[in-house]
Amino acid sequence: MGDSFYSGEYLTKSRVVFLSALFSFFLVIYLGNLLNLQVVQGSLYKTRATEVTQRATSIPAMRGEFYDRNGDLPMVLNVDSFALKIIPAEVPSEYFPQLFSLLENYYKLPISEWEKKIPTNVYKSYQEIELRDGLKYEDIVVLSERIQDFPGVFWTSKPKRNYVESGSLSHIIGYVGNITQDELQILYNQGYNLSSVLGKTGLEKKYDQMLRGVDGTRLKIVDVRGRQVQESETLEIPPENGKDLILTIDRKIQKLAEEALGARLGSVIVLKPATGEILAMVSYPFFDANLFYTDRASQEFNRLFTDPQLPFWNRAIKSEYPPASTFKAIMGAAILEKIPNAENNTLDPENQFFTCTGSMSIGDRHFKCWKASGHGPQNLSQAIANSCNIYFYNAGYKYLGPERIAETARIFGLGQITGVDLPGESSGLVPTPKWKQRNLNYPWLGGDTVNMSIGQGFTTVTPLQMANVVSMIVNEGVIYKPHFIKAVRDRASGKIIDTIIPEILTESSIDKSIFKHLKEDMRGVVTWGTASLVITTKVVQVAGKTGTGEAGSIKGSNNHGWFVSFGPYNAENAEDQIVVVTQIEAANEVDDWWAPKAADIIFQGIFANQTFEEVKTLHRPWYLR
Amino acid sequence: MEHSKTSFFNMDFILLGSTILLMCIGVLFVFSSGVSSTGEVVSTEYLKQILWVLISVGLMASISFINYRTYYDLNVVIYIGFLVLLVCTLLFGRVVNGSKSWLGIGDLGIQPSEFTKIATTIFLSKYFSDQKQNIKKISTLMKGSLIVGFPMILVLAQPDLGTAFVFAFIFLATAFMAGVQVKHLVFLISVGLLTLVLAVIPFYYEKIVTASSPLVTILTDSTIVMVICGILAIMVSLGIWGFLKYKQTLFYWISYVSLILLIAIAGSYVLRNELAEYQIKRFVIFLNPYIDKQGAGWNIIQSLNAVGSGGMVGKGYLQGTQSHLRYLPMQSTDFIFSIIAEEWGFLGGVAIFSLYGLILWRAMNLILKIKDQFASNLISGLIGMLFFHMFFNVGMTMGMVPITGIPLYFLSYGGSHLVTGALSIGIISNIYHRRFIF
Repeated sequence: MGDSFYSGEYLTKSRVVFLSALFSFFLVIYLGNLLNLQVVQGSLYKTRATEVTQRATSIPAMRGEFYDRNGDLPMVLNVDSFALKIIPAEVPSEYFPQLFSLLENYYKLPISEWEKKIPTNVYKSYQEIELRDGLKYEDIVVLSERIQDFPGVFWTSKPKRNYVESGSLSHIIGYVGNITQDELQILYNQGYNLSSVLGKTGLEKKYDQMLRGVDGTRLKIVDVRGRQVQESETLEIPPENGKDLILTIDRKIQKLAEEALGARLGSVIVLKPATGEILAMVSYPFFDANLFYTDRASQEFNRLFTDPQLPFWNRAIKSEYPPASTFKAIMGAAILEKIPNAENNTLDPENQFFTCTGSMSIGDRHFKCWKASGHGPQNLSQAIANSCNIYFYNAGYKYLGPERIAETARIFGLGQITGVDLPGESSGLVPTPKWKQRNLNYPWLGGDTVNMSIGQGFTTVTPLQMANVVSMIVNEGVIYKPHFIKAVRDRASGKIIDTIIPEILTESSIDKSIFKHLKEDMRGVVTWGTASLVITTKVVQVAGKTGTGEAGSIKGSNNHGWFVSFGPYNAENAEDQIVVVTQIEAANEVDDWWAPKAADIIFQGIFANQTFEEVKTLHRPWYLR
Repeated sequence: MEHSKTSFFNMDFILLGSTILLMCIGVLFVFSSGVSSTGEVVSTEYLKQILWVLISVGLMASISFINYRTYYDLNVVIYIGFLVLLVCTLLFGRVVNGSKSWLGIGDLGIQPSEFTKIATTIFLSKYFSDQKQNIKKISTLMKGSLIVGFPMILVLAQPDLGTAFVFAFIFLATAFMAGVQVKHLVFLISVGLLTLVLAVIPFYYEKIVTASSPLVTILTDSTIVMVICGILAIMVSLGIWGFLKYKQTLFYWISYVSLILLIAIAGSYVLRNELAEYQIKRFVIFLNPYIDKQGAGWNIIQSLNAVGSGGMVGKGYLQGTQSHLRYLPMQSTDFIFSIIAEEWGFLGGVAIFSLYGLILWRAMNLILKIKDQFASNLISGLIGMLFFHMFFNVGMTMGMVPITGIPLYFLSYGGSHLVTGALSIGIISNIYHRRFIF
């Protein structure tokens, strides 16, 4: 410890003296200030402390409403409603039992519930407690007539949310609820308080800050016991109302998509590839958010929460499925980009050098094509249209390898979130040998590459990611970030204060000619390939890719069904094109081919301007007769 | 130098006694804060506080017998250990009052940032005492600032601005006692204070003076800021060039002052964009709490009413009106002094200050007696920490300093800082115990 020994005694001494003097100086200053406050100005503060003080109650701001893309009719409304509150300290302690029994009579809630709301340890608190919300005007009137029996009780306006078009929109818009203790701890200092209402899911949550506005304040002078001083003026700081949101959703298309999907577990996405605007998003089952504002709220919530079909789960952005044969579109891009177009290449995309015999062997494993007799000679366009597995097995296993497939899949946005403005999106997975070794502690096998080549195995995607894959092909190399908000509007003036500008999510370096090739191939799927029978619409040229995926452990012949598509195929104006993705989960009694059929109905409905019923009666596709 | 004066009776009873007395007063007033205006006991915080005081006194006594040189040897382990704990807090911690500062399960939890203060002081003291030969060099100071920089960044990320300032002050106090050049410390203090002041000036004019000032335009216009910074940068360079060429101290001071201004102006511009409005508001509201009576100013006004109405002898224990009507939020932690001042009056305040003064006197007196640089640095850092808390907590209740929300050691309700305070005194007590050995 030699070198840490003391040196420079003089220096330390002077510094000790300085530090002591500094701290002592502050102590004296503080003492002086304390003397000034308590003794010199003491009487001033004594009066202030005993006489009056200002008490503030908040005036809730009106929450913003939601409109569809035309901005005319609201999809969510605020309905007049009242909340009953109490300041417990204004109630004499011995009066509480009587108060509870009165409340029981008036509001049909057992005494025990009221006791739970006002536990004995808050009897002396000046913090206001909300007794009930969602009360109608009449409920308040009966109380106001006998207000002298309800000391400390008062009411404030607390508008209730009315989800006019609940249905499938519940997954998008979400719902609001009272703030919880945990939420308040996190949102402390951001303008929330114990009686705040905030968005719990969906756009209500995502844009809560914009929707909620700023609460106003009503100041009144009260004496030290909290009673309002009679002839004092009440001062008000008006609330700043929340902003209205104009969605990209088209209510007609949303309805059409909802009915086309019907009561089948799955999801539908309709979006505009040219901007990323989502025109419709349906996830079945959905729920009615209005149930949460009724007396049976907690039962309803629990019922939905424990439902094995997960009605709270927005399948379009949260569920991860194997992409199945829809992945062949991405494989097509990888093949066209990464395998040189040489004459002696058996996998030449342009020439039919490759022959599908119905099966192939890798090591000791056999891989079959879905068509046992084989497709015969195949080029890329034919392989996509026929959804020939053997062609892609070959391409993936012999020519590309997992790394290059994964690289292309990532260019298309797989394995990453899309950044859509809804909370809780899943990212899916693009596997690589490194990933498998690290996460499953098992080396990558040839069979894994084979599975990956046809969208099976470890690869998982969300329906929204697949919509982006199609957008990339339609836009020839660009994906616009999918979004739900078209504009923000001020309630009072009705003026648009912010218009959302489409944002590029990814731009790929893949040659445009490759995307043109893929578009042609996808058109082939509809004109003479796997989807030619089920796409019946004549009003629009549809292009797409089917997919039927093995649904893991679920037994039987049920498969996940996919259809990823766009139309019109030869649009003059990019703005006119839409992308439709339908995904139907494997379940009993579900038609494996419903995914393309639902898309067919949606295309017909949108481009012929028909409702689901009109499609059914006027267009009469064979599968709906 | 073999003195075996390490018996039980060779303890600093004034130091330990003052500390224990403060803790007892703390318990009394935590109890008082939980009594309502009708005399009902509405909070059981005081029971927990009694438990914490018992634990703290036990720890303080034990630590008094542990050779403080042990910390010298274990400094890196202690320091790294607590840094890891701080990182864990950021990853798995619980958010309380808007900052992620708690680590634990359910109601049981600690605030690792509290203990990290001691760990950092130990490491810093060791570093500076090892570098005694190089203590005047800027590089030593810079390396020392890295030691305090890591915990500061982790605490800022929570975000807990108040505690970050405590770390800065611990650094200054330790470095000062270690013998760092005064001009270097003045440089750091000037940069820090000036950055903060310049950062809040636009808000000050906008919200408190409610008048415009050319100063605001100068500080907020990015072009003007850039031009000024450019000029200052040139002046710094010219100063350095002149100093190297002509060896005139005038040039040295030109670059010294220019550099302070340069960093402060650029730093304040960045800081203003980094801080949330409520944080800036908490900084300046004490200057006039009445502009935001219902918001940030509410606490200060209520506290001022409580303190001011206490008078010379106070309203009597448990007789305070402001506190028992529960006008003060967090009255058992942040505003414990307000209750003391309301119920015990000016004399109560004098008592608290005197007890703190005794602790200061014993600690500073001890530094003069010992010949171990590590111990001197350590005492200085720990006392600096205790007093920084005291000045900022008590100052806040009297509306003298910005709201930082840091607790008052020994008095405020809560376990982590009570234990931290007790550990600090325990360490100083052991140094006293072994004062003749080195």
